[in-house]
Parts: sequence; C-alpha cells; structure tokens
Amino acid sequence: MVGIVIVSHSEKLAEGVVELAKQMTAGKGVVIRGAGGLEDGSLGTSFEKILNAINEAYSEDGLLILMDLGSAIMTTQMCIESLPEDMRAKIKLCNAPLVEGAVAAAAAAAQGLSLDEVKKQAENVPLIKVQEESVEVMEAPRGENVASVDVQLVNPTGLHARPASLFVQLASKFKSKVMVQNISAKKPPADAKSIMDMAVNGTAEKGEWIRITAEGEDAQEAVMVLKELVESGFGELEEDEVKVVVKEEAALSEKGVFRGTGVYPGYVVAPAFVYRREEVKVSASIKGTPEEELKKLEEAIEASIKEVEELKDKLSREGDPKVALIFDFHAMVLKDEKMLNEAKSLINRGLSAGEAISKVLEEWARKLEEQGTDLMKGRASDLRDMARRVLKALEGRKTDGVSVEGKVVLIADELLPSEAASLDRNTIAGIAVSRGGTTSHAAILARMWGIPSVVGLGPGILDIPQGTLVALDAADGKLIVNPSANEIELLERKQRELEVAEEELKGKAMEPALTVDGHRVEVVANVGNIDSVAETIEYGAEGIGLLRTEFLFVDRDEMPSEEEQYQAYKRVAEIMGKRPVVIRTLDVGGDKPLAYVPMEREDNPFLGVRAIRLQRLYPELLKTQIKAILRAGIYGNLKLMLPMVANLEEVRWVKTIVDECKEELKAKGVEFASNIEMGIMVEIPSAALMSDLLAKEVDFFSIGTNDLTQYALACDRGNKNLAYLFDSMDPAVLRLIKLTVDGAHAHGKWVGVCGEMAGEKEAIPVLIGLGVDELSMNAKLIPAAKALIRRISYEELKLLAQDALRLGTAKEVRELVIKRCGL
Amino acid sequence: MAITKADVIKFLERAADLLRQNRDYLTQLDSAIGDADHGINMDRGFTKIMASLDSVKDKDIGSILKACSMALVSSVGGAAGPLYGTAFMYAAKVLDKKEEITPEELYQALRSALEGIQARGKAVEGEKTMVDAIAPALRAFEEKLQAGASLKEILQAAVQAAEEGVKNTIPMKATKGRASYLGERSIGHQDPGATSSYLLFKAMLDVVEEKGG
Repeated sequence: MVGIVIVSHSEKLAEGVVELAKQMTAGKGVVIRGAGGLEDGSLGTSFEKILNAINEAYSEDGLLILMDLGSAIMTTQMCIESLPEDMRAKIKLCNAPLVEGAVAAAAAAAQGLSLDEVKKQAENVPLIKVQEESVEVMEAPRGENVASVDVQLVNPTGLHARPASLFVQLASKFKSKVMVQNISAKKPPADAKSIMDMAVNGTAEKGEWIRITAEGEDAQEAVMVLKELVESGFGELEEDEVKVVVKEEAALSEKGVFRGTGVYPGYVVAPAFVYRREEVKVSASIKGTPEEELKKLEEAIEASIKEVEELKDKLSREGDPKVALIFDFHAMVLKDEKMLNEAKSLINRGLSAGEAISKVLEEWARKLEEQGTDLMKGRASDLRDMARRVLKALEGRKTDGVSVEGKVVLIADELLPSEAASLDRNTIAGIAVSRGGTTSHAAILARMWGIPSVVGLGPGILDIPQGTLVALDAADGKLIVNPSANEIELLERKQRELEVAEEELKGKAMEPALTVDGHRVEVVANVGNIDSVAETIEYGAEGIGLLRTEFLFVDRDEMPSEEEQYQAYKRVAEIMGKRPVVIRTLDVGGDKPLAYVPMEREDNPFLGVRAIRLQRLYPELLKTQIKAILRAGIYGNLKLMLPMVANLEEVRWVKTIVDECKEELKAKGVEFASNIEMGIMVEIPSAALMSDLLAKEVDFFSIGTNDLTQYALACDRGNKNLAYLFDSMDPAVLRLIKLTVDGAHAHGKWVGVCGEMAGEKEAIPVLIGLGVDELSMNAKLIPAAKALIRRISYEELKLLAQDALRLGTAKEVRELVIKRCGL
Repeated sequence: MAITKADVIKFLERAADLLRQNRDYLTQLDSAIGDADHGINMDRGFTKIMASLDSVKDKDIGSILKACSMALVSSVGGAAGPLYGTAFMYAAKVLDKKEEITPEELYQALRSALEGIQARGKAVEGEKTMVDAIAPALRAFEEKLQAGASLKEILQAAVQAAEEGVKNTIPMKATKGRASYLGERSIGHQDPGATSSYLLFKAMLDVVEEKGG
C-alpha cells in the first residue's frame, strides 16, 4: 500500500492532518507520517524530520508527500535528492491542498490503488466552495431590436472618470436603451446613459470584461460603436497616470503635531489660513406648486451648467486642461436625466426644488462613497459641490471661490473642485487637508501644481486659529502648530537640501548625452498637451521629438480654428525657444471619432482611413493645421511631421498642400516661417522598405515603433492572446529600423525613434547601435536614459546591433543586451 | 592570490559573527514581510555550522562546504535552509577535493551556488529575493575578475553591488516566498534574504582584507 507523508511548518498541523487522514483508512494499514516543525518544536521545516518520516512511511508500492508552504517543498526536494535512486523513483510530491489532498490520498491508498492513481485522486479532490452572494449576470438577450456584446477594457484607467464620461456621451446619442454590466466583477447592470449610475455600478478596471446590451431600433449600431470605443482604449493619450497613494490612517495629534500622509513633498513654514465654507441653506419654507418647483429647478440647473462651462473654458484657456476635465464631469451630471427624474419624483411628492436636488445628489454621493471604486469615491465631493452650486443658483446667486492673501498654508476639511479651481497657486505655499482620499482634488491639484501638501490630518486642524504660524513637513506627513525655532530651522534646512538635490539631479539631465566614446545622441520628449511642455525642459529634454496634436481636436464639437491652433503652437514654440519641436499632424481615425468629421464605420480602423489618409479626404483639416504651424514657426524651431505615410505619392501630395498654404498666407500678407523642415513617421513597413527613396523627399524620419511593430507582425497590441507576439525588439522590427536608418543616412537625413521603445533601457543600446540619431520619450524617462547613454560605448553598440540583427527572437535580443550592457 | 582552506574556515567564522550581530536586524526586516524568523534561523544555521566544523576541518574545501550544507538544511527551518543549503551544496561540487582555490574557481563556485538557488527557488532577478543581491554581486565579480583585479578589489566590487542589490529590493513587489502573500504591501520593505546574502559577501571581503590583500 502507498505510504503518505505530510510536511508542514507546524508540528500540530502535521499531526492534525495525519489524524484526519487516518480516519479514511479504516485500519487498512496505510502508513501516514507527519513531519511538522523543527526539532525544538518551533515553526519551520526540518530536513531530518522529513527524512525520518519518509523512511518510516515508504513502501515498495510507493510514497506520496503532501506539503504546506514554500520551504516545505524545497526541504522535501532536498531530502529526496539525498535518497538512493531506486527509492527516489517511487516517491512523488503532490500538488494537492494539504487537508483535502491528504484525506483523498488516504482513502485512495486504503483501496490499494497505485501511486500514480493515489496522487491523481489527491490532486483532483474537489475543493469546498463557499457560495458567495453575487449579482446575477444579465443574460445576453435575444430577439429583434436587441443586441449585446462582451468587451474587455484595455486602457490603463479602465471605465472610470473620463472614459466613463465618453461612454455616457456616446451612449446618449442612440435612441436605444443601453445597459452596461461589469461581468468580471459581477456588478449590477448600470444605465449607460446615466453618468451617476455608471459611476456607482458601471465602473470596471483594465482587463475586466463588460457586457453592453442595447434595446431599440438602433441597438446593433449602438453596441458596435460602444464596443469600438472601449476597444480603442477611449483614445487615451499615452500619458502616464501617476497615482497618489494615500494611507488611510487615523490622524494622531500629539502636542500640536498632526499626522497625515504627504502627497507632494516639501517643507513650508507660513501662517495658517483656515478655510471655512459658507453654509448654503436649503429653503423649504417658500414652496410653490410641483410644476413651479420643477421649473425653478430646471432653470437653476440650466444656470449651473452655464457657470460650469464658463469655468471650464476659463481653465482651458489658462492652460489647466486637466482641471478643466473635472468640470466636464460636473456638466455631465447636471445634464443626467436620471438625476432630474429622481428629483422630479421627489418634487411631485411635495419637496421643494432645493430639497429635492440636495437629497438626490447627497444620496448619489453616499452611494459613491460606499460602493464606488477608489477613483470614484473622490467624485462624491464633486456631487456635493454641484448641490451647492444648484442651491445657490436657486437663490439667484453665483458660486465664488476661495480668496487668500499673502503666502499661507491653506487648511481645509477638503477642497471642492470649484474652490480648488479658484485657488491662486502663487499664494498657497502649502495645503493641509483634514480628510484623506486617494483621488481627492486637493491631492491631485497639489501634485499637478507642485505644492507641498498633506492630507488625512484629521478634523482637529480646522480648530487652528487663523494666522497661527504652522510648519508643514510634507515629506513626513506632519503639520506642526507653533513650531519651535529649532523645528523651523530644521525644516528650512531640509527644504534647502531638497532644492539642492533636485537641482543636482536635473542639472545632470540638462547636459547633453554622450556615450563614453563621445557619440552624441539627442534625447527629446514626447508630449501630448501644452501643459507638459515646460516641464520637459526640467527633465532635460533637448527638444520635443513628438508633439501629438490630438488634444486640440478631440472631445469637442467643431474643428479648432487656424487661429486657435496657431496660438497653441506659438506657445509651445515660445516655451521651447531654440529647441526643436516636431509637430505631428492630426493622427485619428475610426477608433477616435471626431464629432465634426464624418467617418464611415470601418471593420478595421487601423487599416482604414486614419491620420494622413483622413486628411486626404478632408484637405481643409490638414491645410488649417499646416498654416497654423507655418505661422507659429517664426517664434521657434518648429518642424512638421506626417503620420502614417505609406508611400511616396502621399508625401508629394502633402508637399503641394504645403506650397498652397504658403501661397495663401503670402497672398493674405501673413507672416510665416518659409523654411520649416518636413519629416514623416515611419510606422508602416512599406515606408521602412522605401526609406531610401522617401529620404530624398523629406528632411527627417521618426520611427513610431509601436505601430511599426503592430503592422510588421500583424498583431494588435491590445489583444491579450497575442501578447507573445508584440515586442518591438523583434529582429524583424529591428531590421526595418536598420533599413530606415540606412535609407536616411545615405541622403544625409536624420532618424529619430518616438515609440515607447525609445525610453526602454533594453532597447536604447540597440537603437543607438543601429544608428538612430534621436530618441524621443516620456520626459520623466529622460534623466535615466541619459545616464544609461553616458555609460555605454558607441563602437560596442554598433557590434551589439549587428549581432542583434542576426538573432532569431526578441527574447534572444533582450538577453544579449542585458548581458553585453550589464543591465 | 590563492584562497586556502584556512581562509574558508575564517570566512565561515566571520559569517557566523556577522549573522549573529545582525540577527535582530534580519528578523526585524523579516517581520515586515515574512514570518519574522530569518535572523534567528540564519544564526541557528551558522551556529550549527560552527559546531560541525571540528569534524571536517581537515578535509578538502568541497567536503567542508558540503558539511555546511547539511548543517543548514537540518537546522535553519525556513526557506533559507534549503536555499542556502543548496547553494553550499552546488559550490561544494565545483570545489570537490580542492585544498586551495583561485579567484576564478571561487567565481565558478559562487556561480554554481546561484544556479542552485535559482533551480531550487525558481526565482529570477526582480522578485525581491536573495537572487537580487547575489546576481549583481557576481556580475561585478566577473567584470573585475576579467579586468585582472586583485581578489580584494573583486570582492569590494561584489560587496558594493550586493549592497546596491539589497537596496533595490525595497521598491520591488515580492512574487516568491512568504512575502508574496503580501502582494503590493511587500513594496517598500527591504528583503531579508537579499540582506543575509550581502552579509555573506561582506564576510568574504572581511577575511581577504584582514589577510591584507
């Protein structure tokens, strides 16, 4: 009969499991031994104990061993390796769960089954499943006018915030009733036309699956369009989202010291400005008929929407598009019909307009706090903010913000979006907030504006008298009331050290990147909005290698005018000065639809009408943009770049358009830069293959390695089943890059790389070795990339690249780089 | 400079000293992300090695290391037992019947030890384990060795690389061993196993420095 050994870290556990297993053997003589704990009874696994148990339980029929945690397996393996060959052959380790597996193995051994059979029975033991209460997943409905599809979230943010807003906007365009259910997390279905229902129930994380169901005359189309929106990743511009991690710890106060969590480091000593929100009263006394109340409410909401949109425009103009986004959400909630209907039914039951709207919004805010994901919890304050705005509007008043004089540490329970947006960041030296939330606006703004801030300090801070001197230690998450001279000196010293350290780091990044043998590689930044232009210089960018212009075009109802674009490019040119800025013309297609450009639905948007192909259909799009770039060119060093070029003919066509643009500007007597360089993105394999001819027509190439990889390997990078294929280090891609570089250099033209690869430490040596002249990456990666370049040798990289081109797989290339460059 | 059997014994003594001095520190590191026994276990293991040295100290280096391996697996208890046990076992194989060894042979033995650890624990770099200290240390070792540096210089570089490796484990997320049960919460803590590996390299360097080059 097969013997059994139970190996555990705990002597008691091993004994207990042996006892349970023995119950199953009914005195049939199965030998079961436990080997738990160390010799002295403490926790762990003992080589000798296991060896003894094996020797005792071993039989000619074989021995099965079950183990609990990590070292149990490793120690058991060592024991077995020390045994003679013939014994080893008859011992098997078992992957089964300890308790269930031991019981099943004992029963099987008692029946006299073979070792393999005993092992199989133990490993296939059914596990007890505790039934969790779960929401029924809605059936995919069938029938006419009904459509349903399951789709997986691919974008980093998942279905939250901006993507959720886009989803609701698009769903609202259809007549059908549209529902969404997160089937991975088994959440209740949500109304896809209600931003609030979506915020509470409809959220999903990257990788989760949602089921979209529509019912109505345009159900099929609704489902297809929404599916494409999700699959396109909501057109998220490839920017890194930096998550603020806030520990939800109770704030402790000790002798005038409050503790919380720093969200942006720094040290500040300044007077406290305690912000107290003006109470807004809900008027219940003067009440009209339900019809009158409803009319009042609708007008107040109307007025609030107008306020919010004005605020949004103002912020966008002032260059805070991210903050402006917050108000997009506000406008959507105010337009949410579900909300209005709920308020309506409350009014019909006799509540005033004010009572109804505050009740509905408070209810939703509470639901968000209780059920929402972390990202959505932060939105509860938005709803309360909106309730205040509507209530004020009901009284015929406008909502104003926070005004502060002099440099202060702003102390508040939380900052509502309207308040946060109204802050003058030049007067706020630090922010101290009593509540804590991972996505609170205070935290987001603090990071964005670089203001030292601590959140989660507890309500005690609101009692600090106005004007009291406070010291904020945002690195350590502390707020000190009336700091001593020593404490002040300490914090001031730390602040100076912080500044010096930052300067040093940035200082190095400012210098050009030369390899050890003196080969210069230009390191520049990819930028997706005007906001982040200035900071690229701080990270050491020598220019902008890719300015994506989509931010000017998406999420709006009409095309940006030449003037608007001109102003935007001019600002970039002025900020960057002499540094080169490569502006890529609009790169959208069926996956990122624009409201003002008719686009046919395509089965395959990535092989369809996009980028330069779309501009060929609508030359005005391109002409407007080129004219704006030509005009802005006189303020800096701008270059023009065309996306998705497939053949020579496209380049020649654009050249005629550029000439037309110049003629038109000249005719109008408008000043422009006449000698702007023009280059193309090399992201379609045909362009790489034709690079020697294309190089005669243009001034430079920039290789978009993400798309080039996608097109070269015919592999959608978002498709998880093809993850094994998508790797820009594939030798096939490297060979295309080599062709491109050779083609360009033969005609004295330069080549950049602006795909993700350009910032990857394993890829950088290969790219440089292949002869790439410029690397364009997320600005934050620049200091590290420059540091890497400074410790490698160009001559060696050339050899490395030659060897890489001869390898068969991406994995081999990566291994080679790691080995040669000691990464 | 050749490394003698006496040097190997000194290394084991020095390692035992260092592990005893750092017992509480290692246990404290382990209490953040593991089962709070690494310092105690390592101290117990090397105390056992000290006790078993008498019976083997006249044999060859391979046999001494093999005895260390047995002492570790039978006394350490946690995962460090079979892992370091395997490391010594694999090193012993390379140094079988040797009475003294060259830096090149030491490198081969350490390389083999790392292979043993990886074969046993299935860990690669970046998983917050002892591999994150040992692998960079060996790269530094190899580089200096090929550049013809002295053993002291080699070990200085290795110790420095191991120390950096240990620091680098702090932001890592553990995917192997007990700490992996903590998932994201393992981030922000230094790995105790990497730390004890660094101490072993430090012990080698101490012996060579004391010997004067």
